[in-house]
Amino acid sequence: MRFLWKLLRSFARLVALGVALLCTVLFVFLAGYWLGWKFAPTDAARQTRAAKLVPGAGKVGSLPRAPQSASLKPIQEDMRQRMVQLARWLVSETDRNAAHARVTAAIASLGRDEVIAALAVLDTAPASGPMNTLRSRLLERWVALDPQAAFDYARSLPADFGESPARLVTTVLRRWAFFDAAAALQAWRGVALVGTPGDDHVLRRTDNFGLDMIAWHLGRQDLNRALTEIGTLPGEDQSVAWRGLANLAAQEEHRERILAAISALSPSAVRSGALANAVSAWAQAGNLDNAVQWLDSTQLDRREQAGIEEKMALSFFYENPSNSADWLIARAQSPEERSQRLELMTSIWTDLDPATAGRWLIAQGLDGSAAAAMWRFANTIAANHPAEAVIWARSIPDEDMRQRTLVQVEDRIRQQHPHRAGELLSGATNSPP
Amino acid sequence: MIDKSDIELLSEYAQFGTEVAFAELVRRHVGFVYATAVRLVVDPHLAEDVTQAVFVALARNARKLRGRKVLSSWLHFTARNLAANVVRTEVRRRAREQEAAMMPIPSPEPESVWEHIAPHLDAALAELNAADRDALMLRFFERKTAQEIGERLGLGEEAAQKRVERALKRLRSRITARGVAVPVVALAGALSLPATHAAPMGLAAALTAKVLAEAATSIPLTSYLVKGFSMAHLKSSPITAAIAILACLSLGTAGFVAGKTAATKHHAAAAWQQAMLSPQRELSAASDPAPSTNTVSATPPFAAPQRLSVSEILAEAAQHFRALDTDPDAWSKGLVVLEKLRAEEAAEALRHFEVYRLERGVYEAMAPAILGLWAQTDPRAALQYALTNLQRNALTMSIERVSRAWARQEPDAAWAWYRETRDSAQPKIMGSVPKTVFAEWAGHDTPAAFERVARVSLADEQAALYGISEAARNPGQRPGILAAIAQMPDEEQRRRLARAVARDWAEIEPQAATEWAASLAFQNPAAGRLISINVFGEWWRLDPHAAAKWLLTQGPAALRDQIKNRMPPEELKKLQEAAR
Repeated sequence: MRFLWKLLRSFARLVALGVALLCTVLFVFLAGYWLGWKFAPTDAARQTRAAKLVPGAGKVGSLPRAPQSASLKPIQEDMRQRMVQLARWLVSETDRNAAHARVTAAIASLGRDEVIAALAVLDTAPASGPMNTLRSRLLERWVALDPQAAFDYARSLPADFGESPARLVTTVLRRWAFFDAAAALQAWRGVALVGTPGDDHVLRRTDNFGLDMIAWHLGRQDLNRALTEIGTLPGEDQSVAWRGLANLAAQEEHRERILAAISALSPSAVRSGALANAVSAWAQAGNLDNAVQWLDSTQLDRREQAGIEEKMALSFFYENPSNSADWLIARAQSPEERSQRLELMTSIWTDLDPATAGRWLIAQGLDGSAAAAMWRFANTIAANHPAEAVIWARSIPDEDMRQRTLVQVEDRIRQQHPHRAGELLSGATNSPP
Repeated sequence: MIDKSDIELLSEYAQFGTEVAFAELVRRHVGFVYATAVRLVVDPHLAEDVTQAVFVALARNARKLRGRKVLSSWLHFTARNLAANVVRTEVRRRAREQEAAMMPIPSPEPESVWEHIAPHLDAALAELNAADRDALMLRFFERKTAQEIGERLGLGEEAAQKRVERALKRLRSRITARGVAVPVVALAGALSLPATHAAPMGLAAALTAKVLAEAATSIPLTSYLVKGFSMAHLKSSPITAAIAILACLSLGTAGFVAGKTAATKHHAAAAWQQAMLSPQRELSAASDPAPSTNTVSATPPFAAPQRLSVSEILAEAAQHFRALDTDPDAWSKGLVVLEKLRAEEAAEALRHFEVYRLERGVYEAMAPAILGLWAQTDPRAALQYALTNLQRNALTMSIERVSRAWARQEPDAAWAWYRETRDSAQPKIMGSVPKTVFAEWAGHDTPAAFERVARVSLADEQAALYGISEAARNPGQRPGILAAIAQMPDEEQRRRLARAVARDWAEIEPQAATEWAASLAFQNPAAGRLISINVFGEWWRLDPHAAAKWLLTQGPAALRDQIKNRMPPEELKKLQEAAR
């Protein structure tokens, strides 16, 4: 009994202690809450303090502020209204070119403080595509006014900023290159060495922080320097830079030197890629005949030259499929090359417009050299045009390939149209396509 | 080319840079690589990125890979690694194991087997030894016969068949270990199904060009996309009474400040959305769009322009277009100046425009705007002028502007003209017309646009659907379009349009778009789920924290489960913390 009493007393003491502790914790928490309510800085106070920061010397992840505290709030309020208006254009205008032109033109007239204020305003907006567009345009404008500050800002953004800091750094570098490619290249070297927070994937790979564009602008501004600098780049980056620089061949004043410089490279995929870009750019500038004549005069290894011709044809393809396909076929120098090219053109064309691609292929003559192209065509259309695919497959002149194609087409039809496979496969005739 | 093996093609590319050989490799394997990527990263666009990265890696490693017997194994391995980096999924597998272990195991039908094994397939394949993996790759992903597998692996036909069977059993045991019971026969049947996610049309061609262009660049292999859930990891430390009191005090203060900050941010975001999406009056750059009360800036960017004569407007625009080499924004500035022209001034503008014919750059830059203006009164004449006098980009852009202006007034007539002309014109010139016409049509007469889109040819359908989705970006037009989508009779077309609309909308209002997508009902529920996941992926890219919070607090349970299944557990934990 006594033991039970003792136990009960101990338990009661423990409970009392717990309750007291809980009350204390609650009291202290509420006291802290009250302190926060009483002394937490207001938005206005924060802005005033922020405004005292030295312009252009933003800490990591923070914007450099406008120099005069009194001017900050009106600018921000004004910028908020304008950014809302620009965002509305981007959202509501079905003619996106017009909307982007209006946004770009409007932002191009902003001053430095306005750009900084507008960027700060965008930080309060929910993440969305239009906001990302506005942020990019604002950064481009900032580059025109103060490239180093814009670059520092973009580099200082944290990985969880929302929009990819690497993309914004690339935006800044590309625009910087337009004005001063040598400085942009210098900045690029710094970024390329260490990267940016969260940049470590697709964007880095695909854009390489705008190196191709930087090289192109550098060549435009100072070709000698571009040719020197390109040799100092790390091996993998050289290829990107050469491809960008090669596009200068479109301009007559640079063409000869660019072509000579690329031709002097040792035979490699880098040279082939750069040559293909250069000749394509030359041809695109309206000088196809001259470009081709030059290419023929280079006496490259046939494989390399054939690869360049294919790339040229592809660069023209989306503009005029028929002409570029005919041109490529006409330049084939062996039956094997002709067969390969028929197949290449058919495969790309069929994806875009199977009906026209089919007509073109028929016009080339459905002989042995077209067998691979027919195989490609039948396989590509099998999913959406099964009956026609069977007809094409049955028309392939080469026995082995015909059998193989028929098996593949039938396989695909059974997968895509399981309920109609029998009807489709039995209904197809042997008449030529 | 067709008869060459993968390795022969790779050697040819590595040795001579033969692009057609590489293009063939891409065409052969793009479907399989894309399907693998989609399985792992879910989002089709992300999957395209991964697919591209895989082929870039292939191009760059072509020399090293020439000695391999089975290229698809390497492609699968690389796709898996890249995808894993994209979603940081090294630990995702464990999450699936845990969830799968708790899931009831249904009786397997082929398709449901696929649904169950798909999340585990890549991890299980990666655990097999190289010989087994090669055999399965050849049999089920390259669809080779036993004889062909034997030839590739240097085995007899019978031995090859046995290896496939053995590898299949091992794969099954690996998958079963993850809590998904499936007979070998059903597993083989499911693997024999076509890839669940076919590569988009044209991906191979586009990829080949891109990859070859980028083959020599570096390939960092980790993701930049899924990065938003990082939270500071708090570590506990010994607690003393004083520290506890201080901590409580700080917590109280921090609680107040955080609450206030969050509320402020929330209100600011809501105000933005409301301001951006509220119904608006007609806008044009020339009509002083923002009432500027700014007294700070000396040069207000939206100052009301003084009215200029037509020739002065053209001269001002020409000045901008001449400065393209020195001012990167010159083109936009010139276009905005041309927006000052009024429809009734079209004839006069045309006369002055002709003055610039000798200045080709200026003439071509002006042409789309001038012809767009003319099209408001005589679209056929404007089109004829464009086709006769312009080339290349100037022609393409002019056709787009004219067809847009025409479609705003007479969409039926604009569409009829397109159908008459499209086969005789170059594809690039006419390529944007269906999208443009339907974007305007759906905005101005939604029922008629939907009635017509149900009858367009296959070749134009996709572009027309994109056009409607473009119109749905406009908040004023969206409700009508959403209502019309709900009434579409063709389930497949409805699904494709819903997907396009939701994705476009998600770029502007991700939460609303995700909620709408989650509310859609289709005969094939998997198709509906895929749209929701895709749209959520768009939101996730834009604002991971908000997306996560919504998913865990308000998101539909089915969608939540689907997405959680694809998320690494550590990220899931952070997501839950963020949501709290």
